[in-house]
Amino acid sequence: MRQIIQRTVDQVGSVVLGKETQIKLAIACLLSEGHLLIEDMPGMGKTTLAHALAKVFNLSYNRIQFTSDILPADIIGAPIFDKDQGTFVFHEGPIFNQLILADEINRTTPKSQSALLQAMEERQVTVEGEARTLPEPFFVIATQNPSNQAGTFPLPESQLDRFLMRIELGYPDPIAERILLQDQDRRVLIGTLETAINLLELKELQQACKGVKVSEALLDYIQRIIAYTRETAEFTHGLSPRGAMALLASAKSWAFMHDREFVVPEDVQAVLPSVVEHRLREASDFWDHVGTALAQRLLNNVDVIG
Amino acid sequence: MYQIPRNALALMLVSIALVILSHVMRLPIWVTLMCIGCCAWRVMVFHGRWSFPGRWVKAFFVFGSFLGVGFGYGTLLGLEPWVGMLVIALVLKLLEMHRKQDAYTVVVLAYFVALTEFLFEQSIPYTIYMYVTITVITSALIGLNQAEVSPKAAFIKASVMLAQAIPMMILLFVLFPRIGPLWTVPVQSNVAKTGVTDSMSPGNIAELVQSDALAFRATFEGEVPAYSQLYWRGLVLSYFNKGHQSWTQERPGLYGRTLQGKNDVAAWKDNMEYLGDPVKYSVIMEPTNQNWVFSLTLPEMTEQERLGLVRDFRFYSFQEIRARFQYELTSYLDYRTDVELTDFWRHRYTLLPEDDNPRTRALGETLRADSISDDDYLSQVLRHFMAEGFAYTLKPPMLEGNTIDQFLFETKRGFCEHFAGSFVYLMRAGGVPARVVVGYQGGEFNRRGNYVAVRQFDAHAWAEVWMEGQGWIRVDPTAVVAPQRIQEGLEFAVEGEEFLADVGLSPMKFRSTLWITELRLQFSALNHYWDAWVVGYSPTMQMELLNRYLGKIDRKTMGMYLLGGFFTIFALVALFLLMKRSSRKLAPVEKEYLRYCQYLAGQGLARAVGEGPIDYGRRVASARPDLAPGINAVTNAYVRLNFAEDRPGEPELLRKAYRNLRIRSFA
Repeated sequence: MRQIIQRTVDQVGSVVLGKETQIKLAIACLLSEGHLLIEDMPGMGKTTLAHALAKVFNLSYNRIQFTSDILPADIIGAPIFDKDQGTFVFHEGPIFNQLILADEINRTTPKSQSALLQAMEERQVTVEGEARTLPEPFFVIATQNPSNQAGTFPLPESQLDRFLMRIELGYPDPIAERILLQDQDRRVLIGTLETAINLLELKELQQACKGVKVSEALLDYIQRIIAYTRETAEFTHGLSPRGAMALLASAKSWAFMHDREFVVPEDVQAVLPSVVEHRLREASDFWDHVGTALAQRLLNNVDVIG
Repeated sequence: MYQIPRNALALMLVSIALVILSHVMRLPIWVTLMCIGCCAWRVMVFHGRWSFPGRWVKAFFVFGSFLGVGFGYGTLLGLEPWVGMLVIALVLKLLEMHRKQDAYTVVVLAYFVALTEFLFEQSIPYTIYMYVTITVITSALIGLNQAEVSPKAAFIKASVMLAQAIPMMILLFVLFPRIGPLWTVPVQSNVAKTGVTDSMSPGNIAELVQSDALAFRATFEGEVPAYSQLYWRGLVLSYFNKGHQSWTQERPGLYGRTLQGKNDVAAWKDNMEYLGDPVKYSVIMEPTNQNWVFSLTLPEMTEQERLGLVRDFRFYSFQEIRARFQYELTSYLDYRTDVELTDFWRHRYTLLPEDDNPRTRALGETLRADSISDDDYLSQVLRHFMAEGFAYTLKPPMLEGNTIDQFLFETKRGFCEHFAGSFVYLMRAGGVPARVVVGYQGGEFNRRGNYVAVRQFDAHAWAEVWMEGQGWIRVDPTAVVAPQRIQEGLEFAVEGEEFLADVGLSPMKFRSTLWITELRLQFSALNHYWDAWVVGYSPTMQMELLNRYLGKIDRKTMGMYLLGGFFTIFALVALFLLMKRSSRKLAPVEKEYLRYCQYLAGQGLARAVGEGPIDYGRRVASARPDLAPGINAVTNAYVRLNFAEDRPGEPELLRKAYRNLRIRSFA
């Protein structure tokens, strides 16, 4: 099992250079059956990462470019009249794929955003009163530009909460960047990637992640973290129970990926910033959703030992 | 554009209202109206109906109110105009609250204006009021920083914060070195204070006794003398002014030297003979804006600052008493003074204006001719007061012209000043040296505080007569006419007339209702302690107190105690926090692991609060490669025991690993 995971990490890492932590987090997210939000400037390799993941995991892939005029039907699909049969036939939209890259999700209007987000939560869409199940597995990687850029509709807290993790890619380090400049085009490289894992194996891995052991002491630690966000004045609001579950699920996957049958506090700490930053807001901060400093405070101030 | 949080603005307006309310009696009415106007304007700005005032409007307000204060008070110097300016600045700043910093400025100003209240009032009710005000201001500050906190929650939080500050406050109050003021600000004195004045004409004192205001409190060491012995001498009036028909003080130049300090020398110092037992007492006087202080005869010289003993055996303060003033004296109720009287003084004390009150003079001469000695003459005069149908009343008729003649022969109804004034006049007409003394007589004894409270309605005038071989003796003609006044007090002497008719609702009117009296006495005793120990806590008193409880002390040791006190408080807080922390129940494995952490902390490798065991183990192992195997063993054992199973396992494995680590580190 461990070899499979290592292989996927290596494969993706050969295209997305110098971002091993982010790749691991993205895979952990996938293993936890959660959705991923990547927030960064344009041109940082968000698409490349998504595309590489699809290829390595052998998932059907589609990309939805969100613009300010996109409509829900453009995402979900719409019934179209078939002249030959004389009936309306439903044409599936791009959402009927296993891995969706929802690019620049905060550039579109709340109406279209919510169409996607509802699909993410329920894993089905309802068109004309008929529920249509989305493929299994269903994994959304959404990207967004930093919310203070012009022409953005920031996602509300309720929708941010649907994403298991939010990561930033950041600039590559100089060595990685040198290779990037010397090497071939990324798109070509993605084509050369090998599938490292099949659907069945992915299912097994996801099941195995759920089976990772969690001790009372660790649950205490997680609850202390949750309580800290709820009791300390510097947070506008505490973490929701969904946030707590997200933290636990991610930590389990992380532990599994690191070849442990049980979760240790370090696993929680490794995934904590990605899981909580977009769910927290500083009390004195009305505009930005960036909880980076807050996550750091949680790491520093909540005692690992009872 | 900064929009102040709604709750913060509401709390801010309430605190400004509270702050200004305490000053409102001293402020011109237009300032109060301006305050209300500015607050209303700010509310309208908040609702977006009005805009902030423009630059010219603000300039107009500032200079206009500057001039207004100058004209309103007649001066720009002095405390009241300054406080007025400060209040105006506070409310105008409300209209300039564009940014968060401005809001902070308003809060700080509010604190400052609240503080100035203590320049005028230091009583218990005001202190409680100020405490509440400060709490509200603090909650406004909280509201400013935490916009989503409700006003009630902010107030509760502020109360808790202030309550927590009380130990520190007491410590600072008691121990912080007290320094005299570096500068003083004149408190405007046009506010009339009631009290005895330095000239006495019929009607003066009768007016004064309409007030129940406190004059002073005297605490006795030991037994309090009998009521009829409590003659508080304030002023001696020995010159009759014909034009005003009033008794006034002797020209100060005639008296010669005023004694200051026990070792001061003056020729007349030997004219005082102390007999009997001393009576020790301490007096806290309310401000009078006058120089005279009150003492029982005959006071002994004192080292008290500011006080001097005048030729007529009473004390005088070199500075006007503008604030509550405390002094300690020893008096001898049995005494002899001026056994010998020089011809000059005999002349001065029998001096009467020419062609004045002829009927009184004639009466004096007749009675003198009938009597065999000065003593006899005195008794004859007193008998005259007793026999001729004189009455003691709070509402004496108005007198005009030769007032003494009019009183003695026509109206015959008067108050103490009528009796004392006419009696001295009559004695002088018969050639006997006599003078009027003004002060207070009696006072209410408070058993709880063992002090006597003397109020304005205890004001009294009596006489002193010089007798050959006896010196000056006290004669109180009022005692002859209305003995109850001297033995029990005014309200018993004027039965049938309404006591304190001009005062509204006063607890003093209900002296016969037991529980009101009880309550009043309790509160009064509390006030007394407050004045004596809190308001009157002066540099000298601080030194005395600290010397008594902490031994010989100087500024340096005082600072040490202060620091010590600080650290004690901090240590207690820290201890409390620690107790709270360790109250969580730890599994044996965790306890054992913490022991290991503590051991490593002793080696200079403490675990950070948020550091997980594996990270910690890695860090420590790289810092101490010699211990690395042992540390890894402990870490593995701990992680396995604490996290691998649902419930923490038995700590044996961990204990063993830890022991091995210790043994290895010794080797």
